[in-house]
Amino acid sequence: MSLPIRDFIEANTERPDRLALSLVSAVLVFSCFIVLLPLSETVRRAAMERFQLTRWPLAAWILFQPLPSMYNFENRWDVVTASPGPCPERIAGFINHHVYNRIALFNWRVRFRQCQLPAWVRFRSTYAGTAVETSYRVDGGPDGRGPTGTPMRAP
Amino acid sequence: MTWKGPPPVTRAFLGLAASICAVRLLLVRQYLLITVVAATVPLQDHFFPPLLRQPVLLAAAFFAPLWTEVLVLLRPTDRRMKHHAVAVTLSAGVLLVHQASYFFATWVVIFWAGLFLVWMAWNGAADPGSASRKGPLLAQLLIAFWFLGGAAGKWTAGYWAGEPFYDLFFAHHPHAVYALLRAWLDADKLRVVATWFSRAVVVVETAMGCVVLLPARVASALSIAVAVGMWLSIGNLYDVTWPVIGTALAGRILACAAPAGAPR
Repeated sequence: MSLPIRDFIEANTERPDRLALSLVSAVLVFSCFIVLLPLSETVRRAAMERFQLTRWPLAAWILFQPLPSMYNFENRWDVVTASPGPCPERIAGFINHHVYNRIALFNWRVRFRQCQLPAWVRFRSTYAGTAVETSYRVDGGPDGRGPTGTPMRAP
Repeated sequence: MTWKGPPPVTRAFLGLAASICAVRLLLVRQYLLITVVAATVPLQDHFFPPLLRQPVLLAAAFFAPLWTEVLVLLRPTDRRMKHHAVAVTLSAGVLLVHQASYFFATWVVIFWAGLFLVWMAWNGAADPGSASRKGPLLAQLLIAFWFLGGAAGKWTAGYWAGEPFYDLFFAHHPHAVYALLRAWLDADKLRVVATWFSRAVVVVETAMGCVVLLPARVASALSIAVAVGMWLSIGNLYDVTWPVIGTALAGRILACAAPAGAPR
C-alpha cells in the first residue's frame, strides 16, 4: 500500500515543489517547539509566558501565534475585587489556554466594566514541574469607557 | 455549478473552503458582538499597540473573506481560488494577533488551512498529477500538527486526573451533554466520567499526532471520525473541528485522484 509520506518524497525528488516544502518546513520547525515542551524548562516557561503576555516582545509573540496550543497546561485564574459590590469578591477556576483572554474576551470586558474596580487577576500556569504566575491589576481606565489591564505583583 | 465536474484539486479546494465558510457564517453574530464590544468597551493594556486593538481591523479581517468565499464557491476559477486562498490566510493571520480574537484556536487552524489553500491554488492547480502525490501528505501533516500541539500541553498529572476538564466542562458548562450528565450522575460519578474523558482526549490527541504516517484514506477517515467526536462532545468546537474535517476531505479527494494502480 502506498504511503503519502513516500509519495511526497518521490514526487519532490522528481520535481521539487518549493511551496509544499516550505509548508512542511514551517510545520516541522513549530513541531520542534511542541516536542521540546516536556523536555526543556526554557521552552515551557516561554510557552506559559506567551499565554500570560509577559516577557515576550510583540514581534516574537506574533511569530509564534500560529503555534497550535489548544488547552495547553493547567491554567488557573483567581480574581479578587477591592470591595463589596455587584460582582463576587473572589472568582477562581481553570482557564483553557491563552489566559489573558479572561480580561480581553468581550464578555469579560463587559463584566469587569460592571464590577467594582480595581480587581486583581492572578494567572498561574503549571506544566511538568514548571510554574509561571502573573498578576494584573484591572482598573476603570482613564476615560471610564473600558478597563485597563496592567501587569503587576499580587497585593 | 456541480462539484463533480471540476478537477480533483478544485474539488479539494472547494471542500476545505466550504468548511471554513460554514464556520465563518456561524461566527458572524459572535464577531459582530465582539466588534461592538471592542468599540464600546476598549481595553487598554501594556501589550497590544493601538492598531491591534482597532475594531475596524477586526471587522475587516473577519468579514472581508466572506466575499471571496461566495465568489469561489459559486465559480471556482484559478484566479478566484488564488484570491480566496490569500484572503483566508491574511484574515486568519490578522485575527491571530488582534487583541479581541488572538486567543481563539479557530484562527490557528484556519491560518494553516489557508496556507494549504494557497498551495492548492498555485502549485496544486498548476500540476494536478503531482498534487495527488503531494497534497495528501500536506493534509495529514497539518492535522497531525494541530493535534500534537493540543496533546503535548496536556501531558500532565492534572489532565490525567481530569481536573481541568472537570472544572471547564463537567462542573459548569451549559452544553446539553454536560447538563444531562450533571442531571443523571452524582458528584463522584461525574468526576469519574471527567477523568476518563480527559484521559481519552490526551490519548486520542497524542495518537493523532501519528496520523501523518498512515495511508491517505485511513488517515482521512480517522481524522473525520475524531473531529466529529470532538464536535459532538463539545458543541461549540465546530469552529476548529470543521476545518479539520475540510482538510481531511481535501486530502482524501487528492489521494483518490492518484493514477490507477497506486492503491491508497
